[in-house]
Amino acid sequence: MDKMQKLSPKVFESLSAYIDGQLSPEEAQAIEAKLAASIKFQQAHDQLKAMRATVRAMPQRKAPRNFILTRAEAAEAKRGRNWSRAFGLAFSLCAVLLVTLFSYDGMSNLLGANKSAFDSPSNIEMAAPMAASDSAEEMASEPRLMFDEVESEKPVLLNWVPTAGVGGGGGSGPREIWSSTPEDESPIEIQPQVASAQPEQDPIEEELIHVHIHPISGAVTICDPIDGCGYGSSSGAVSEKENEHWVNPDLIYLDPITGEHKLCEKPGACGESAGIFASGKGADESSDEITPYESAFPLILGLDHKNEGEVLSVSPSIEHEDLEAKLSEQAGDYAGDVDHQRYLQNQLKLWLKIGLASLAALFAVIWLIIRRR
Amino acid sequence: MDENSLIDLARKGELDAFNQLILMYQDLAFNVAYRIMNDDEAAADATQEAVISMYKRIDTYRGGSFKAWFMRIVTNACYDALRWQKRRPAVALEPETDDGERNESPAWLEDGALKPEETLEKSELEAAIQHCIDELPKNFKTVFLLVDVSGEDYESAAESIQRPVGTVKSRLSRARQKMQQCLQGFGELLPSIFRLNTEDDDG
Repeated sequence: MDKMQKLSPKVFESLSAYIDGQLSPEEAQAIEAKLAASIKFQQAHDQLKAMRATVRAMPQRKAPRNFILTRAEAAEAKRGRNWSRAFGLAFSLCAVLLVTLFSYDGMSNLLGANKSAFDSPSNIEMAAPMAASDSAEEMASEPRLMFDEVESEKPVLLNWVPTAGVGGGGGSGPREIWSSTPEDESPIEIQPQVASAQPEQDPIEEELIHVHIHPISGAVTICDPIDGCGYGSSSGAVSEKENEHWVNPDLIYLDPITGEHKLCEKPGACGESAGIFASGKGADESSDEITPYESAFPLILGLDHKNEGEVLSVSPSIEHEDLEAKLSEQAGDYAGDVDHQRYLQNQLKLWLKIGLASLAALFAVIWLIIRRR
Repeated sequence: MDENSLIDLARKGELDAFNQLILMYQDLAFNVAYRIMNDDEAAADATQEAVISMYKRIDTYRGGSFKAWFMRIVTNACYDALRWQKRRPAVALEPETDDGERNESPAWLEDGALKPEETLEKSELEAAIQHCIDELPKNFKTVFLLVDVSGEDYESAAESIQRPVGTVKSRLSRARQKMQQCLQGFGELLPSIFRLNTEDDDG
């Protein structure tokens, strides 16, 4: 067998480079010393050198024809290159726009969060009375204080600021909850988990109900007692537990503009109480009749996880066909609806991002195909 | 006109200058392509593709060795062509004609080995060397062809493959080792120096 195989790869590499004159003087001297000392190393050297010389002595093939380009071929090549450039440019443009959009979104969310936190009460998205407390732990230990001390002269406002409303009302962005008194504008942060923690005592005995509060619109939805709230976040960025609260049902009222149920500062102060929520304490004891839910928006009580997420309960008196008519009737009211405008903006941004990403991918594929041809 | 002036003019879109550069290097380019493709026609096609590709990208040439840059485009064009051939074999894989008859032609059974007439065209030693070059892995083959067939130095080869000189050194060494092992199999065809060790072992 060939002796070459007995040389280590490193030594063979040095020998190979030595033959090509690619070693430093010191390295070359080391190889020469080995050559002088070992006949077998000398033979390996000679053999490698002979192989190299044999390969280099192979006749060089002459080109069978000229490979120069004609004017027509050159023009065609340039056309292909121009297309390649155009698609490359289009791809870059889409990518830049996409990055800009994401950056703008992030910046505006950041600025919006800061602005809302220090804004006047007119910008408060949702207010629910609760006891003034500097300690989140205190609130957790006495959860009823958040909603029961309605008559408190200095109610604490629970104010949230959605910071990344990607996805139509999906509430995908992280959320911050602030509490503040009307007199003191500087917000005091409380832990959302603590604020929405389940009361230590049985909530049924305490006459609180478990609801999901939409992080953007503030819409209140009753959670299913067995399956829970049944809401999934579109992006998974927000734990839905943060949006679940135990509230006094008397505070829930029907917003006539949006047709959604929301939380009010005081019972009856914001409009007609939603009778469907009435339980024991807040219900009109003199009447057994419960006011049916008449909103154009279906009141989703929960999603049936065992039945492919089918809606468990909707407005009992609204037929599906009537929804569009009701929606078009109320369309005028949406002009000044901040929540709705924000929802539309989020939708627009989402579809813009999807569109730009799709275009960028398409242009990139075409660009690569043209480049490879 | 010197090479640099021609390159400058070619980058400005002068087709005549570009063609002069092609004439300077086309033999070398074809030779490298032939050693990779081991077929005159395929090598010519790959060289032509490389020339067109180079014309499209001439404005992206950023200095350095023009020869190395051209050789890189040629080797890339060859490997693209080989990949293309692999995906779309020219010979039918089914031993049947279009009429459903048994295909008597042995063409579909052919492998990539040298045909007798091709062997006759070349010297036996050249055929043996070409066979061993074909057996080399792609990365080793490229460096081996650039240095030992095209006669480029390590720096130029490194520029061609866009890797450090150390990589060229290492790949070339491995390629030469494999070439030696392969050529040992051709025994009598080789110069006596190749058989020194074998004789030594036997003795």
